[in-house]
Amino acid sequence: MKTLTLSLMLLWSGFAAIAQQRPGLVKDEKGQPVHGATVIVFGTLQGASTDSAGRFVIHLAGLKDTVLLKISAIGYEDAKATFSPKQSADTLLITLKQKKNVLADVVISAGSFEASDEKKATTFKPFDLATVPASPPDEFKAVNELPGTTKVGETEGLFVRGGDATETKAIIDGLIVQDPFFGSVPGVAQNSRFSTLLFKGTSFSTGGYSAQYGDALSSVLVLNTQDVAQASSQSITLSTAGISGNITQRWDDNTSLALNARYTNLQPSFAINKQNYSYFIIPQGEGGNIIFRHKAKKGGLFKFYGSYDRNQVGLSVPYLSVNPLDNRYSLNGRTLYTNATYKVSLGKWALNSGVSYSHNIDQITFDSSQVQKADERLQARIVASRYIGTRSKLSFGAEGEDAHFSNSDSLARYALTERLLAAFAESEFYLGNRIAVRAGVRGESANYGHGNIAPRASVAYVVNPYSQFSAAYGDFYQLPAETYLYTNPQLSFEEATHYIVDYQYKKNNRTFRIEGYYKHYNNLVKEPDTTSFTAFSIDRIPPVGTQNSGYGYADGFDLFWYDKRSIPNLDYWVSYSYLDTRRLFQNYLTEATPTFAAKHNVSVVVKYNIPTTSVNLGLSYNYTSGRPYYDPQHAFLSDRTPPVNNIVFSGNYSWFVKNNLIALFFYCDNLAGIHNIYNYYYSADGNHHYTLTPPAYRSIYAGINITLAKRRTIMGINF
Amino acid sequence: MKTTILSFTFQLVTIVAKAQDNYQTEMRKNIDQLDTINNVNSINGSISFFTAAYGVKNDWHALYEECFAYIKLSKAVKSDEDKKAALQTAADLLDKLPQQNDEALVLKAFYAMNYLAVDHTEWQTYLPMLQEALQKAGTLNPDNPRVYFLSGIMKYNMPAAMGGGHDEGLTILKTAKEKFSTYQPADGLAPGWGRREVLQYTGK
Repeated sequence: MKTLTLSLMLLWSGFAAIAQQRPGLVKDEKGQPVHGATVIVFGTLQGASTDSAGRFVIHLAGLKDTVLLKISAIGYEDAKATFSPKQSADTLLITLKQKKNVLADVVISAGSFEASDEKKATTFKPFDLATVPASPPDEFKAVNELPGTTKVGETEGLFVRGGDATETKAIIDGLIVQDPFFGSVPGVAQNSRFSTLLFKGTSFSTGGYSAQYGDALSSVLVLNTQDVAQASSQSITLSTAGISGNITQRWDDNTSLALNARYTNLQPSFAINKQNYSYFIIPQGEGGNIIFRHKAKKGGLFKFYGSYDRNQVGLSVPYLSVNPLDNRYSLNGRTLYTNATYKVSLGKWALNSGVSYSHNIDQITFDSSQVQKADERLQARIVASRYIGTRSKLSFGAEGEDAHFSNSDSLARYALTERLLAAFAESEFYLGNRIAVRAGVRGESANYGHGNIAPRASVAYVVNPYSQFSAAYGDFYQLPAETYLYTNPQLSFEEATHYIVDYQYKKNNRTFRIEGYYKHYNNLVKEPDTTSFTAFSIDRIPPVGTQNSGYGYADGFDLFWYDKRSIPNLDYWVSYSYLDTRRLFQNYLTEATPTFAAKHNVSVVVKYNIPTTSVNLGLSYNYTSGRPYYDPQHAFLSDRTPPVNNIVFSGNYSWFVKNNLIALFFYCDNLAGIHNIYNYYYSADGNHHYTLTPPAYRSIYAGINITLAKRRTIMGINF
Repeated sequence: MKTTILSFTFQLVTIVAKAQDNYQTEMRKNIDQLDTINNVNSINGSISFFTAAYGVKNDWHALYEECFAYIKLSKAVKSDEDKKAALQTAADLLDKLPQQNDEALVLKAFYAMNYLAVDHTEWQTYLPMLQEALQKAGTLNPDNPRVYFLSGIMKYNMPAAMGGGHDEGLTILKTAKEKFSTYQPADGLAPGWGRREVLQYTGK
């Protein structure tokens, strides 16, 4: 009897043991097992994880009648399941749905290069652009190493896909910058006014850009400034181009103020770099800026940037039609620029508002004539955006600008007031799991009665986490240059339509991209009865009788390969752009490839950090095939200059002395000293010509930067 | 009647206390276990436990350990993609932890350090994050040995030209060792990791 009882008891407990476990299986929608999924019995300390076959086991001891399971796994939507331990003992089957926001970070690549610390999917980090070899480091020069751009050595600005420099607008914190470069000097490209250190994010469009921006036919360079400074510091920089200083004060986590001042004088630089031009005023100037940031307790962020610059230069410009020997050109430029923005979240809405004001006066003396060019611009902008669900975003906003331009010399004064109002709406959303769409529309109205409605759309099809196809389309409008509006304010918007297709493969810090485009220009300004063409002119005011009758096209493709991984401590990219473009506009005699377009453009950028040292080396190589020039004895713009080759080398070394960082930097432009030719300017009869060369065949720029208390201390240990 | 109520109340208190004990015991056991394991399946098991534990108590210690487990998971899995996915989950959990807590800040630093190990090209974001988190943690609790542990590791792996190196690192790791020897955990569920690694570096 005892034995029987005992064996019965054993049997019972054996049954109990079997019934006290419930097996389960976790699969995905395709029926594949999910390894490493977390299964928890809600309200208890019991958790299980799935093995490589997707299996798990729940222990039933102590569980109630109804058990709630919560299942989660990386890359899948959370799931819930209930079962009753008392009912059937079948295996629990759980299916997980792939998480949709795995693709939430899609950056539509058509027509866009983005550098951001905040978005993970971008090809670049801001640092990648800040370290492009250029003297001095300049966001515009860095972007000029990307596909879709043509290098035009004699002029500042970004020439994007057959567009001239005025077709690209620089936008800081949403607001257009009227004068991003120092005052233009014939034949000598000027630097931009803005240090790369100002920006935490850059988005460079080569076409098909967002409806949020306008007044640019070809491209926008969208720059977002840094938030509250990371730490207080003081620094001083001494270089062959001058001296500058910075004081940054950060009070708490929420407020910072930076003061920068500079004095520039190229005397030391000219002493070591032989110049091809003769200067009677060495380029010099001074300037300063104030950067204030304040984060409000409730999350609003206020940013203010204000700068004032004064620059001066005087040089002989061999200007053919007057007197090749003595054409003294001098410029005295003064620029005030301010930009204030406020960003705040109001419930589900994010509100971005901003206002900017700039005032620029250039006093130009050319031989005996004196010209004053001035522009003044006020812009205000407000954008409201919100997420709908977790993946769709809706933005709309409005902006207005009031700009005044004038050009006066002893004979005439031209003046112009330009008012532009714009409103836009844009939505970013997903169609299913693989298609991301950005669609928007922008309407603009100018004070002379012209208006436009511009649709924009781009779409990305995600093939797999590494590759995507994307396409973009849009209409883009821009008011004609002020010199044209002076003599004919009735001119309407110039127009371009972009079509872009793109394939991108991006995996493990390697990016490959190929992109093809077609761009159609309409309503370009055309001068009447053009009989002569001058490629090079100072203070030329076009004749009356201009019309929006010009047109043109640009097509081509870009290749881009960026590798941050294959070779330790070395980053490099290679870009190639093919450009085919023709247009009839301005004072062109016939439809032709414009003087600022090159068919083949190659850029190679290599950056290397010598391991276990703080030595960074950079090298860039550029090839620009010949650009058109006009010899009146040949067909219009049928001749090509020789190609331009350039190698830039840069190096820097930094070390700490106590808490202070000392950095030495060195740049050499045109390392090989190649005698490049930028362009030829012919006299009207074609008997004389002038060869436009770079301002110097080889330029060295070097300096030292000392930053005090840059180091962070952790528990009294310096890092 | 009084007795019944009293005994009922007593029973209730006992049950609650038992549940409390059980939570504390199981948590401590799993916290200590997580410190010693390195393979994917065991770490996944830990993650499951701490997820369940957080569901029971909404106690940040469970969230902390779950986050720590995901960071450990990023080291255990093979592909960069899986590593980044594990770190992304850890980052989401970090956001839910108390922000002004020295242990949570140390964990954030540990996260940044592991992110850098996977992808050093993003140092512009993660190096300042690592330094800032350690600095804040050290300010909040100068006796937290893990601040010294991570600082030591950081210095140990830093190029000599930048003021780092093995010797410099070891000096700080020795301080970490001392701090561990006098370390008073804030409570019964305080994290315990770092001690073994410090001893490996400095010798016992």
